[in-house]
Parts: sequence; structure tokens; C-alpha cells
Amino acid sequence: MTDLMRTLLISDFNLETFAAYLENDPGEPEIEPTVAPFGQVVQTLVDSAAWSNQEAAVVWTQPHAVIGSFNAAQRFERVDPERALAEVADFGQLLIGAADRVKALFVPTWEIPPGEGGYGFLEMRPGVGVAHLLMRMNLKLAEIASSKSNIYVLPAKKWIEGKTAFNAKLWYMAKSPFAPEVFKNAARDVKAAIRALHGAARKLLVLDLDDTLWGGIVGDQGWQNLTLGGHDPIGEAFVDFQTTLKSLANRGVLLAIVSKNTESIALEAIERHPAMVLRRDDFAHLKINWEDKAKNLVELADELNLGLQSVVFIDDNPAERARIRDTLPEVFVPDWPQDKTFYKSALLALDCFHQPLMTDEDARRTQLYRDEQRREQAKAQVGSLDDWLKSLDMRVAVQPLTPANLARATQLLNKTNQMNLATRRLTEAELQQWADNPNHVLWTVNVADKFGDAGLTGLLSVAVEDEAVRIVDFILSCRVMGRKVEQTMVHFAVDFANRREAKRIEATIVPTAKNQPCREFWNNSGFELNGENTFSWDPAQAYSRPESVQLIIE
Amino acid sequence: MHDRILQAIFRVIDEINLQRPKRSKLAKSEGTKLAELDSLGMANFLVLAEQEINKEFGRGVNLLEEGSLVDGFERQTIGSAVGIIERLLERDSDD
Repeated sequence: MTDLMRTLLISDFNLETFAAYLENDPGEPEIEPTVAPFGQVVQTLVDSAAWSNQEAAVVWTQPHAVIGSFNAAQRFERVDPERALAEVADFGQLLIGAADRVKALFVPTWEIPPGEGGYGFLEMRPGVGVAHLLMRMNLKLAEIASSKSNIYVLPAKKWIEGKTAFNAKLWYMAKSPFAPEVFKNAARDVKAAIRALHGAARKLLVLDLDDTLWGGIVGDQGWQNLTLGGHDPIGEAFVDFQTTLKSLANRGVLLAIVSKNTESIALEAIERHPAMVLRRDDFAHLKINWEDKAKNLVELADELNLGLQSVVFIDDNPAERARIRDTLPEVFVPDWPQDKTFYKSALLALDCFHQPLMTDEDARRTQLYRDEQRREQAKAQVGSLDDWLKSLDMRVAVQPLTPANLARATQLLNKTNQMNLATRRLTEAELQQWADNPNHVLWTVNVADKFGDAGLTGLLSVAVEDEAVRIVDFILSCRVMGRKVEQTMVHFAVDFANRREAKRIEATIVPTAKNQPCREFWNNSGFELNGENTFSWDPAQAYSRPESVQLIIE
Repeated sequence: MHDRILQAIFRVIDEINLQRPKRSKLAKSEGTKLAELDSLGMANFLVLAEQEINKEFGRGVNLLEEGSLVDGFERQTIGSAVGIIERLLERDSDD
């Protein structure tokens, strides 16, 4: 995906206000919306010319406008629910067909103004209530959409909360059923989703301790006297906040601490306070000392091999927030409420962690980073880098792309910034289509050692040309960078080129603001630099595999 | 009352400006002509203005009613809109 996303907006109502909010949102990527003529939903869905050059689309409809049976149900006609669901299925097939023309297709759920059901307390009775029918239609829509990996059904209900969301005046004046705030909320969510698809989701949440994770100053009061849990509204609010943080960790966001405190005192509180939800193992890393937080934050991100653009920083102290904003503008520092009872809702309101996919690796992410810390501890006890690597018992397994690893491979392709040769951003379908070309080969790279299994953390793909093999993707998660997996991947690629009797193997780096580590690796790879960005090697000459790494070809 | 209405309308202009390209933002000035708004912009302006007045004064005004802001919208300015809203609020208090 590019920094400018051309996005087609399709609706039975006027979406110009939505388009305006999308277009004027200052965050990246920029959106260039095209609004299809309203009221021509089906016509636009089937008209491939209307989709020309579009990269994303939003299909936002009112249920009565596209599902005839629902329209009848709203007029209190007797309607067979199965008939309505069949119409939803037909509409879903149109969406599936259209989704092939873009990288992402967003479909807000169908909603109706409160009170438009009309059956009162029978609203949720199966076969009678309009609200019941609408719920089933939305479920059916979501199930159909899930068969296509680039269709995302967005829960629109949260956009239209509040008495002013539906506005009859706007409908009669401008054929827009919603007040501007609804379109503003929708634009924010769609933009967040596009950012996530763009690989820009934040990965690391760094927290302060005193009055952020618990109430009070642990160094002054002792952990026994902190406000946390118990029969206390503020104590309960901190427990709820920690529980919500833990749920973020469960979906793959790393938690870390940067706090001005004495480490032993703070750690005692984390381990011993009975109401702590988060314990030491829930944090990927911590920097608890009396040094400048900006310095600590830079070191912490560096030690986790993450760029600052992946970091969110939460601190109750406005001066500390201002310090980080001023010195590290890439770090996202949200405004934070003074009232502790709003901590949880402030956290839930952050949309920067949204991801387009959940994989096993996401669920295990904190554990994977803790494994990495044990590796680093072992490194400190071993002399040279080679000795340390040998002590790790590294295993690199290369596998072909399969339906089982396609989702994770796509996720890695779209999320990795630093060790990424081409920084291609593709959907699952596009990646599969690319790999299906007989002249293309794509392998996944799994890394494990004696401390744990890092899982699928690398991608290598090549295009076989007349006399050359060209490396297209050379991608490695930051979690396993610098352990000679890179050299092992090059060894494998050169060996492949040699077996194909290629005269040369090439890798062309596409420079970005973030892939300097990849450039440095190739600068030091031993390949010859031709021109500015292309590195080449004669495959007849073997490329040594690092002794410390066992290569397994599956 | 005049200043409270004016500030409410300026908040509306802030919101309307979020819907407009960088180079065509409306100035927060009593002399700004509402004719700079297109028909959708006008609809959004009226609805947002009604919402802000309701928030500010705890009671509603109908800017679509005959003789109100919608008549000759293309000739209105922010200042004249404030005057109309002021008259509507005063009339409704007299009732």
C-alpha cells in the first residue's frame, strides 16, 4: 500500500461529509476518496470501471435500501426471515466479487434509528421483531464476509450512540441520515483500520508506575499502602485499568515500564501486592531507575529492537508527557485523564493498536520477548558473539508457503519495517497470487533455539529470471535480527540460485525511512554493490552458512 | 447572549472546517459569508448550530422554520446568523 490510499465510497445515502472527514484527517496515510453516485449501490458494485485505480472501498448502506425483505419488515409486513437472509447472502456475494478489485473493503454493520422497529417489547422476538431480524442479518453478513480475508465488517453501532446521531433534518435536506459526528467517528475507525493494514499499528505500550498503574508513590508509602483494589473506587479503577492492559497483552501488544523509582522497591510491589493484575512476566521489559525517561525509552525500544514509531507512552504526569512529546515526536503520547476512574476508558479509546489479524505469535508475544531477554542474559555470560550464538542451539526451518501459514506470512510482510528489502504491502490474496506465479518462489522462515520457539519470523522470496535469481522479499522480524538468521537466509537463497544454474543472484533494496538495518546488513553481506541499491553474487561461489545455525529445509 | 451565541457558532465553524480542504477554511469572523458553504455544508451548519445552541442554552431553535436562517442563506453572514438565533431565542423566551 502507498502513502496515499485511493478509496471508493459506495452508499445509498450521501457520503460527502464522511469523504470530507476522511480526506482532511491529517494522519497517514492520506486518503483520496471518490464518492460513487448515491443510490447506485448494486450498479457500482458490479461496475468494474468504477473501481479502476482504487485501493480500498467502503460500502455503507442502510438495510432497507439493499435488503427488500427488511424494508417490508419495517412496514410491518409478514416477512420470512430466511428470505431476508438469502438476500443478505446475495448482497454478500456482490461484496466478495468487488473485494477482488481492492486491497481492503470495509462494510459497516447495518443500523436503524432507535425506535424505528416499532414492535416495542416484541422487538427481539424471532420471526416478528425487526431488531431481531437486523441482528441476524448483520451476523449473516459478517459470516459471509469472513470467507474473504480482505473484507472487514466494522461495528457501526458505536459510531451512532447518542440522541443526535440520526438526524431527520439532514436526511430531508441532504439525504444524509447521520449527523456529522457519526461520519467523524466512522472516518477515525476506517483510518485506524487502514493504518493497521499499512503496518503502522503500535506494538509497545510503555507505562509509568506511581499514579499510573497504581495509586500513590510506592517509594514513600510502601507497597502495602498503595491504592489498588480493595473496597475503594479508585483502587478498583486501577485494577480495571490493569485488567484492560492485560487484555491488550493477550492480543499481542507488548507492555513495558519506564518509571522513576528504586527498582527493588517497585518490583517488590509488582510481585507482592495481592491486587496486582500485572506481574513481572507480563512486561516485556522495564527500566526502573532515576534517569531521564526519554533516555530510558530510547534504550528500552532499542533493546526490544523496535522503532520509536511503534511506541505509545502513558504517564499521569503532564510534565513527563510533554518531555517525551518534545524529545521523541515519533512516540505517541496520548493525553491522559486526571480522574483515575477514566483510565480504562481512555485506554480503550486508543485505536493505534488495532490489527487486521490475530495469530498465535500475537498471543505469545510477551513470552517471546521474555525469551529474548534470557538470551541476552546468557549473552552477557558468554565471551564472543559466535560463542553466544553457538550456545543458543539455533534452528532455522525453511518451509514453502501453504494455506496454514499464509495469514501469518501476510501479517509479517505487512508489519515488518526494519529488516525488509522491498517493504511490499499485500493482501493474503495478492501474496498467494504472486507466489502462484511459476517463476516466483516464496519460503517462510521459522526460528527456534533452546530458550523457545520464535515461530514464523522470516520471509524470503525470489523471482527466477533468464539468467538471474532476484531476491524480492527479504524480511526478518526484529525479534530474531542479529543472530545470523539473515546470513542463513542468504546462504539458502544462493544455494537455490546455484541449483537453478543462475549466473547471478541479486537483491535490490527499496530504501524507506525505516529499513536502514536492512541496508546495513546488505552493505556488510559480502555481495557486490552495483549502482546505488542492487547487491549481487555469483551463485557458483557458495555462501557460507553460519556454523552456529542449523538449517532445516521442510 | 450575543457573545455566547457567537462562540457557539464559532465552535460550529471549527467542526465545519474539519470537513473542508486546508485552503478553504472559513474564518471565525462575524463578516464571514455563509454562501461559502455548499448545500451539504449548509445542512451540516444548520444541524450543528441547532445542536450547539441546545448545548449552550438548554433549549432548541429551529433554523429551518420560515423566516429563519434558511431564508436567503446565501446572503447571510456569521454575524447575521447570530442575530437571527438571538431573535429566535428571545421570541421563544417571551412565549
